Amino acid sequence: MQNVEILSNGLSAVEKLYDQSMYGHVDLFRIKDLVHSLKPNHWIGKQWLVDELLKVYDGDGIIHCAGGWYGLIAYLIKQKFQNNTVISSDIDEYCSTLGKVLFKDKGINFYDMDMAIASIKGGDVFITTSGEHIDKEDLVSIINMCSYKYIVIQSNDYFEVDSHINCSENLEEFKNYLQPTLSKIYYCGELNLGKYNRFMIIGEK
Amino acid sequence: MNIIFVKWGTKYSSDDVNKLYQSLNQYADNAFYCYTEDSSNINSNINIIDIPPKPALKKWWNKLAMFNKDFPIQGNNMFFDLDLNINSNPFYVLDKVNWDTLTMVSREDKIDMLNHSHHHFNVSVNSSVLCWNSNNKKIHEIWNKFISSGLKDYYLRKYVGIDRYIVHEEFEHSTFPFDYIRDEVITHAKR
Repeated sequence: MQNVEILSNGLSAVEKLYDQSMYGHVDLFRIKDLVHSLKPNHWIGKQWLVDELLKVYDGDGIIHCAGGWYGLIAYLIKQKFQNNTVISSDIDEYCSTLGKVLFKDKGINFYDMDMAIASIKGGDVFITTSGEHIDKEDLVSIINMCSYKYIVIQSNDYFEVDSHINCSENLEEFKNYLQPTLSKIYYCGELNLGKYNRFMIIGEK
Repeated sequence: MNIIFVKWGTKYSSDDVNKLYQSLNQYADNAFYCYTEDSSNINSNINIIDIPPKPALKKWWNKLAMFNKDFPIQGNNMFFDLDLNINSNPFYVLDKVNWDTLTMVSREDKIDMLNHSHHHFNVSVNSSVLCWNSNNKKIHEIWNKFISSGLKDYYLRKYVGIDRYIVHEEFEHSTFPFDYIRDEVITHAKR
């Protein structure tokens, strides 16, 4: 039932975009972007994160999904971490607008926020599944100044996409540049998603 | 006037840069520049401007960095894509260039592809040859909006290339005469 509700909310978001296009603000690519954000591989890759985080963390503090796009990772986190405050933030201000429609009444707090700012807000768990979109130097710097206890980072080897500016050739390369930012690593692994592999590291500051 | 090439990745080689330089140099006694992350084997007469590691951009998106106010050249500039063949003097067009704006190649042959709806995606210009002035603040806005609006990642997903970004984000531009890219002057190499 939950997924039927998300589907219905997604269609409401599409309706909202169409309505806006009737009265001046025309950006129908948002529809395509929204649909893309809910593709099966995104569900699978993010559920993998939730499943592995459950083995590491059972606190009730703030979980911040930075670069959270339209909020799918925050939604999946909230399903399993119901007592936690779950935040989804993104520098793209329209993500919160659509995220609030897509995941209406799901207990997610949406913010418009640069990832560097998000990283110093403080809490228990800092998550980004957008590692491939962030300059490597910036990602390392963000983790270094991060004021959260647990850090979860995902990236991939999907080099073909123009916006993927920080892919890794393999899990070892991914781990090698992130390991120095963490005092302890709980999990480091990869998931084959067909066209590409997704990498994930869960560690402690 | 500066003449600029952009080479990123391995699709184009130093040979492509050097060949285009040789083709153009016979018509122009100008300073040549190549904006690249790999300057190996590029003709020493071409000044190298290094692509910085940050912000990391792929392929043609690096062309937008030429509009950064801190890009290290000044004055009037002319850019050429590396897949162009120069068949005769391409600089005859300079007296028709409006240096107060960005000048792009007209692709009137694409006009039939535009459906004139509000969300049409194809554009009737391309950026295979460009002219602009480095001191023009309106030109700097092309880079500033891309890099500072918080929408860089969205633009990379939405527009696929810089031509659509420039047109659909409504940056002012003009075009060379519609027949500038033609067999007698410049042609695209078939790759």
